[in-house]
Amino acid sequence: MKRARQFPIIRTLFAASLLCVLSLSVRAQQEAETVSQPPGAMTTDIPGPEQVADDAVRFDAVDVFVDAGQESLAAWQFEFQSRTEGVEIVGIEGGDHPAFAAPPFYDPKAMMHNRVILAAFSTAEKLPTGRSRVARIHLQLTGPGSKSCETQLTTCATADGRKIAATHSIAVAAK
Amino acid sequence: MNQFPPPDLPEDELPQELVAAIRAGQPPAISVPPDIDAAVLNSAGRHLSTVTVARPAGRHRLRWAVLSVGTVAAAMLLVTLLPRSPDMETNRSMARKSSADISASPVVAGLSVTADIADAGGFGADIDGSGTVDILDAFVLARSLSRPDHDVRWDQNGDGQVDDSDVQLVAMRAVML
Repeated sequence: MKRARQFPIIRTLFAASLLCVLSLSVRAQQEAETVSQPPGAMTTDIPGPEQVADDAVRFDAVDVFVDAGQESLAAWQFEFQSRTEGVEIVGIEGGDHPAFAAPPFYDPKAMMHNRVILAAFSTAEKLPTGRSRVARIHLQLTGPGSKSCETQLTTCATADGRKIAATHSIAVAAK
Repeated sequence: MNQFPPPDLPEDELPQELVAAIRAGQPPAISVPPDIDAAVLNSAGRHLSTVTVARPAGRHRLRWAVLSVGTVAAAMLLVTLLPRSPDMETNRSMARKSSADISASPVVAGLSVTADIADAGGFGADIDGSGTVDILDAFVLARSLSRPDHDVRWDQNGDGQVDDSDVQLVAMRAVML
């Protein structure tokens, strides 16, 4: 009688563990897909010399462009992360247009690390339209070869707070 | 002591001949003398005290293992199936901030931003109700500064007024790693 009561509990727990493993694997797969393919993410290579020592240090800067098309750009948020070793963020600058000339918001913890979230908004009357450089990221690159970085424009909005489907790009800044 | 009426026995309703016949058919009651009864009990007690129940050890361990795994799995299942809200993630990441993080945090426009963010406690930074705190929340808050109808819940630093310092706090939270 006692054994007959125990077995359903064990079966139930066993089924629960199976469900748990199944759901965990599904969630892990979903998260892996999210990490590997964030929507709107873009990978860019920063070229570098091959014939240098492993500890050779150089400095480059990448410009961040946002293309809002016909809309006026009032707010944007952008994420940068290097995908290779030897990339450290050492400085952040503002953009070309007066509305975004001041350095964007960022977490100072990003300095000397490989990931940063940049964001800015402007309540000015005159706002940029079309393709505009909104920020510049200064990088310290260590070692030979090109460095890969992933960027994503998280959000953009017009002056009335309406979200727009803008695009972004980055390019190595001219020295 | 017995205040109750005698039970209504069925034999009272039966024919007396039948009752007598049934009673005659029963074997005589066997009475066991108390000393024999006690001796039997003592013998059984001695015997049972030496007997050990041989449990199948493997099955016992397996049962406990299955029970333990099942309990842990059920707990993990609960954690897995419970929905995660972005606010929860934000608050969790805020809670992870150590004192070292606080000391390394920024000063924007003369404001001790991190201390104020820590004081804000994570409530009310999602100004536009999108479920996440991003720069649009700071933008919406900044645009609202020109209007008199501020929502008092948008006061991020608890100074009793909604102003530019609150906008800075929301913006800093949006970019916080």
